[in-house]
Amino acid sequence: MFNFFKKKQADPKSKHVAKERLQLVLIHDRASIPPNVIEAIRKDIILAISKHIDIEPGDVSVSIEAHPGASRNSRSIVADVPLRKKGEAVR
Amino acid sequence: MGKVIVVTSGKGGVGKTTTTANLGTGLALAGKKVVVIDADIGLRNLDVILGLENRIVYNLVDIVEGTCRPKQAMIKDKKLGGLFLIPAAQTRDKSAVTPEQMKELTAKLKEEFDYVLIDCPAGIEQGFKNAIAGADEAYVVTTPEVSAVRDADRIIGMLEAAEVPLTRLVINRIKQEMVLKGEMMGIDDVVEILAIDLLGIIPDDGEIVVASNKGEPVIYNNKSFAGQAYRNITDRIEGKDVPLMNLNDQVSVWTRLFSRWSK
Repeated sequence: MFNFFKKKQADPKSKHVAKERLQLVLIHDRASIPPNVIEAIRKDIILAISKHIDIEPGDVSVSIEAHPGASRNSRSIVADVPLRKKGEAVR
Repeated sequence: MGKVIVVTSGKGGVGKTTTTANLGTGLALAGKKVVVIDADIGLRNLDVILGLENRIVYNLVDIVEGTCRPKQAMIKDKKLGGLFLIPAAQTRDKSAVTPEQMKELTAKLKEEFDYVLIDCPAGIEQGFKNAIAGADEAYVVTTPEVSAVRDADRIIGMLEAAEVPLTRLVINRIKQEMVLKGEMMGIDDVVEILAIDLLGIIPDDGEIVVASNKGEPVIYNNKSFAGQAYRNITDRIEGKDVPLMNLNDQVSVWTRLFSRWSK
């Protein structure tokens, strides 16, 4: 009986799926920056940072993010550049 | 001086024409002088929703081209002395009218009417640009579905870019039973995503179909929830502070109880 309810909970309701998908697609719609431009920015960031420190290009991600609660048009370009742990930095 | 309001949505089939017809009727019932304009040139529809399809002689393009005077193209409503329709041309396309011509026409009309309501065609091309050209305010109609909300967002962006002074949201065809079961986005979800002021909500209601079958807007139907929802919106347009309709009242007790578990 309880298992039945638990199982239902694990499966996310479609309204949450809808909302998440919409929020993601709208960030890109509103920014009107095409994916290839984002990719170009990503490559340039990798190039710029690699001059100074050792990073793994495959780990660098660039995305457009909305600011929750802020106005419709407030967005940022967010770059995530993980630094290597000391032990890993062998080349 | 009256107000020019465009009813728009981006996506087709979400209830623009029904909303225009009902709000026009509602405002006229409240004693206002109202003209509704069908800007969907080539796909005329507002006339049938209002039940006035048999009275059309001239249309919007005739006015713009000077074939007739605006008065000659205006069809008086069957019941309400204060409600008039300017129908769309059926045999022309959207390029028959320019944004400047629409601006000029709506500016002239709002000198005489309290409200000029424009039923905007779906899409973001010429027809949309014509319809919003002279607007003081825009009502964006959407349904709680992914595609409709996405298109609404696009339209809101374009209305901002066109510097339409005020944009408000109407959420149509809400199936509260599904919302309670977590299978449809609710009012809060849609408002959070689109981040504009909410003008009103309309529950999904079969009476809308019955009303359009008869050519008599659902706002006349005192027993229908959608009719009540449109009356509430009309009151808000008139500046009255009317609370949002409680949609849970329309759902069975069992569904409401069950929804507590399934959220």
